[in-house]
Amino acid sequence: MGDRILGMPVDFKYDLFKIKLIKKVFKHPAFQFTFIVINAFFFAVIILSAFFGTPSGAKNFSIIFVWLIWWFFLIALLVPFGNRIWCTMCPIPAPAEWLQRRAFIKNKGGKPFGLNRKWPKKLKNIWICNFGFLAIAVFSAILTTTPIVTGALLFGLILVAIVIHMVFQKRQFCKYICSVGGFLSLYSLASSLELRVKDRDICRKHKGKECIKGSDKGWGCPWDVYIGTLDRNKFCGLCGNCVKTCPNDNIALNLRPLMLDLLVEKKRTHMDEAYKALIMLTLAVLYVTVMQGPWGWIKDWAGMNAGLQKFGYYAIIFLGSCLIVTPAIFLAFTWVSKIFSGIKDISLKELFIHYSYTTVPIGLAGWIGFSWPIILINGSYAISLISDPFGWGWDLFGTASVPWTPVLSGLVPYLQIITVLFGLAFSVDIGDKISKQISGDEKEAFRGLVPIVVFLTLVTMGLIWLYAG
Amino acid sequence: MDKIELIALMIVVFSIVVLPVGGSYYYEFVYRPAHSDETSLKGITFEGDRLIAYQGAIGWQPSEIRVKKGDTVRLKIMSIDVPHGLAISGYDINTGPIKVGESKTVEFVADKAGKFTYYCSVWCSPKHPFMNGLLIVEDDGETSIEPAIEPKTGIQAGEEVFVAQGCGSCHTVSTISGAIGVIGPDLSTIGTVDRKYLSRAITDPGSDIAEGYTSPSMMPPYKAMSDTELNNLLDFLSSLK
Repeated sequence: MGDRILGMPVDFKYDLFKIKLIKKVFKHPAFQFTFIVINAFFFAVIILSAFFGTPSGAKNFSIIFVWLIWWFFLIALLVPFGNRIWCTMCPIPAPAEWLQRRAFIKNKGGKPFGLNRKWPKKLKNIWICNFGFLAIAVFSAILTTTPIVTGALLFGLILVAIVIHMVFQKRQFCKYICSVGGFLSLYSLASSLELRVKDRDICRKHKGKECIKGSDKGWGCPWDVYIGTLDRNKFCGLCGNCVKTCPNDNIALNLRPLMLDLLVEKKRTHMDEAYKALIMLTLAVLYVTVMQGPWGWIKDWAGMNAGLQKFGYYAIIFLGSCLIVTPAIFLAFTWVSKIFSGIKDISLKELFIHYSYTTVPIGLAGWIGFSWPIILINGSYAISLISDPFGWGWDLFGTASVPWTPVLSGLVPYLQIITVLFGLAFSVDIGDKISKQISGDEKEAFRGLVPIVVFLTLVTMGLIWLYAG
Repeated sequence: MDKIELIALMIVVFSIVVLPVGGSYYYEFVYRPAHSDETSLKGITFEGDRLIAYQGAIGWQPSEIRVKKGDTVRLKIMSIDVPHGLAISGYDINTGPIKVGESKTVEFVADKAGKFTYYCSVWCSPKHPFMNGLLIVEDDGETSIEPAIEPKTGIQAGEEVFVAQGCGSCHTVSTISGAIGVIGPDLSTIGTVDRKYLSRAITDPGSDIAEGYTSPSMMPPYKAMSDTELNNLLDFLSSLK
């Protein structure tokens, strides 16, 4: 693997459970419930403001707090530094899970409510998440500016979660349906936080397996994950149930280097993840182009202001870019890599999947770059909205008349450029390590890496051009 | 259900239902009206989002304001969906455009008894002319006012029809304060025009558009008026010379 990722030792781990308060919080029976309920209150305000508040997006709590505040914190802070901590407190599946468990806090055993079916094996991938995210993303220009559409989407997701929980076991909605969960499952691989066992031997010898079955201290893993062998963040929702149920105190919440999970698998076979990486990379470019670019006609097409036909063209270009164009371009670069390297015992498909993980850092960086102007230029809307969430003329906390104020707007392009350059650095470093994992020969690995680095650099240059002109 | 789960259920219901729903309703419809010396007047287009439950109405919310003669009236006017403005006939009030999500406050003494139309003074949508409300200033000693306008005959009645129909939101008539609309032709001297033409212009505005104004006409046809109201209105317009 190489001993460092951009200077950080790969074997660095600091167990946050050494801090007694953190361990106490995670082990408390009401840990997850508390965070969910706090979020659920804000969620209720979001839904109410979406349906009953002003239709003007800038003056509506739902638009500003979902698409500006929550989005920025999710992509720039929670995911890179908190793994899937959002899933811990997400209110969307909460009613469904409470209904399924017939409880809020304490596990009293008994059969879950609902049909309790197993998730079909063929659907144990994130393809539904991929297509679901694209289906939502193509309507982003309308979704992120129209409160009632935002409200309908969020309310719809709650209903879907309830249906899925009533049919299938545990949190299959979160794993295989949720659009946000789809990209969290990929980008959490890059996170600097992980929940792992301290000693796998202890788990191997321990017959109780309370982390799977549950106990009076907590539920069995709702994500259907066995922490004893967990080596990637992909489906760990940080709910803390295993921490509560483990009788051997064998679980650690580790700070670790970024990007570590991208290097764990030696044999990468997940085409759904490969596509997710490329879809997210493409969307990072498209979103900047459509929403922050100077081309008004693209916004008109995207927002259906130029008519349905033009929106149709936009949708075709949008979806085609994500599903066909970018993967085809990347496949071409992968093919060149195979030719350059001379590697023979790996198929082009396998190579495509391997190298797709190199796009995760630059993709995440591209999304953070897209999010900087969102929070810095428009984040101040939130200050007035906490006093007047519905746009009804309230002034609950005396901040309703605080005007829109861009913050550090002159720094935005620099922040964006620095972010994607860091993303590129991580991508190249990860690419180097993946290349060496694929090929035992250093020279062969280097030759194979070059075309991929060219691709990553071209994407980075494109993003910088979009940011800075 | 044990005690902890019951407490958890109460917390969930409180957080998701009682506080946001109940709290919002109480604050908007009970606390604010009782603790404020101003009337909140929200403007939303007739084509506006029907889910916005401003007491089931759209246009101006409230659509009727009652005060006593001599009261100091404070109105906080808000544009909810698109820019609106408020003008009150008979009181020489015009806020000018109010941006979406913003508000303007006007204060005046209701020193004239009667019924006064308030209307939107900024072209907001195709149904802008219908965006009217009624300010009722009650005389001391009166306990009720008949809800319907009883038209008098003649020019005065016609002026009342002109005001009640909100014509001043699109047309200017120099003798009516608040009739300062610039979307349609200035009617201050319209009395020289043929009466039949005027009648057609009111009931079928698209049939003959004045020079300098675009086709199709932005004026909606006013066919719902009674013959008496139409004749009174024509009397009034014909008097404008």
